[in-house]
Amino acid sequence: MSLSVNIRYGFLKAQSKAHPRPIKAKCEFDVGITAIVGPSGSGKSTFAHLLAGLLTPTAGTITYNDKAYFDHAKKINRPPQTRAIGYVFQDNALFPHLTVRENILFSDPAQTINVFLPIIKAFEIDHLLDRFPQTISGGEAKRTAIVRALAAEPEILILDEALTGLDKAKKNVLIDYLKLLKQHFDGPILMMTHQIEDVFKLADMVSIIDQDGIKPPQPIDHIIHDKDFKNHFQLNDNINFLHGKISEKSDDGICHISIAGHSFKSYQKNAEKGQTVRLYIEPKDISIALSPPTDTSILNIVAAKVQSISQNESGIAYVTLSFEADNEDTIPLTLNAAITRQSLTHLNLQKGQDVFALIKALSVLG
Amino acid sequence: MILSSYEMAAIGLSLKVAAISMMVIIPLGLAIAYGLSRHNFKGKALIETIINLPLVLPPVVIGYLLLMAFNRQAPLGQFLEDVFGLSFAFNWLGAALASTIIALPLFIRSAKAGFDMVNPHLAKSAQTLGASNVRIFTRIYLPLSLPAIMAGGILAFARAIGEFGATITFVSNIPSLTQTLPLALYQAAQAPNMEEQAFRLMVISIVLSFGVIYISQIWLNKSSQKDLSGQRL
Repeated sequence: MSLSVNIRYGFLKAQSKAHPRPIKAKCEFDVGITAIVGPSGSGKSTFAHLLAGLLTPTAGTITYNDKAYFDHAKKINRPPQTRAIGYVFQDNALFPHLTVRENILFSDPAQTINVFLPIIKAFEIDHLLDRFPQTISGGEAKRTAIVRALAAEPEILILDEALTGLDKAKKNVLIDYLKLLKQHFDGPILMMTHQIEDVFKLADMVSIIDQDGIKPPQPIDHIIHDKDFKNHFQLNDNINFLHGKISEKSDDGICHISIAGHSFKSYQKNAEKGQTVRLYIEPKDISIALSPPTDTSILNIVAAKVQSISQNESGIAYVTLSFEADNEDTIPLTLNAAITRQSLTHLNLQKGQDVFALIKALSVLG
Repeated sequence: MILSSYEMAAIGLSLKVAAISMMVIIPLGLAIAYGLSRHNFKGKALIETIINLPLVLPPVVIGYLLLMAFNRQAPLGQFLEDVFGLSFAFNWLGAALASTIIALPLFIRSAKAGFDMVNPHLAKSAQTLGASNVRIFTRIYLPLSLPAIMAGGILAFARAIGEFGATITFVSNIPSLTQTLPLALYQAAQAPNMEEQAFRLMVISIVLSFGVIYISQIWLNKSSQKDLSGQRL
């Protein structure tokens, strides 16, 4: 189940007028979430349009499994209607004159809504079925648009800037729903985004789009060590990317995640015991204290040692913390914390000092 | 006010001419407006200019053009008469043709503005959801543009029922054959001792136009209020 793309677009005069930057792509997209990352105007939407058949490439081929969606040489160009590609637009593109129910049933009005009830319930829009799109919130509209796309039973799903324009709280809620999406959809999901955090929180694979075209997707924990990738997003070396395993899950949703033998706690609605997970901890979500705070909502307070401190011109200092092995199964672990330079001075942190790491949030990537 | 048979003939002819015009204007105008709104092609500006020309040209110019093209001696007029037995010269069909050409651009402009307002992502979404082009038109563009289409229809109907210059030039002013209300009023206003007749025709014209526009306006207001409250159009 993979989508292979080898196309060029925008090399003709008429096309270059509308799209100043030509697009080249030679890559394969597999099952799971692939983030296609690039700045605004880099051609992400154009690329999505080309895949869905809303634009026609200048040359090349688009093939899903053995089905040719587009083949310039063989003069094959399937219309969007027969490509089985679900497309969720940035603005959701819900039909304003139809109810949520009618929107979902648009692809097949003969169908009854009951067929889609499991997914409607999973995305928690069952109470909105008789409402009109103008009367529901942005997050609800996005979920409706996703369910509507899934109701057409696509084989590939494209999410164009699905998380753009939402505030942080709404975004985190939607991220949980998007993780849920993977359980309800077993084809390739392409997520166009310019926000790097989205990539870390959701994607399995990352494909960069820049002036040279679309690069083949790479696993996310490989690409974060890629120099181009880091330069592209001005990432420093301080990203915390980890592998772990859910060792325990309590009824209240708190999971114990074992990372290299160290145990961390995190609230994860959809995770299951025994599942191996990839984790991402934002450096700014790790605080440092000299003594363990007693009354706090933070779940993870772990003893650590300052391994190194790096400062740049900005007001932020990165402190690398090492976590000691406390038994034979444990491997030493390091995490990077971002603190202000003011805090650094205030705490008078020194290399080798014993401190406590306060980890506010862990993102489980599934 | 009891209407004379002379007045009844003028009213009947006016309504017939306007109704036939609308029966041509609505489907033709929708097709042209939709095509212009959804597609870009070479020479689009030229075609739009030609379509809008009757709005700015003196109607008498259109009437004279029609007379030149469709009179019985002209090749086109001869062809239509010989092949289809169709004649536009000096009959009510000619009056309907003149009204159609004069009123068509008003309808197209309004309908196209309505189609242009529809978010293009809706059509793209519908395509990826498997909707045919016909379904995209009937289920998305038509309902979402209905207020603009109705407004265009009202304008076009009003223009057709009031058409004077092109009609009198093309099909002349023949009572009960081509004499619509405005033409009858014109004749009465020109003739000596016909002041009362002219006044009656004027009142009839105002009442007729007022009635049509008023009813449509009520309907339009209702549908746009529904639109604001998120109800079905």
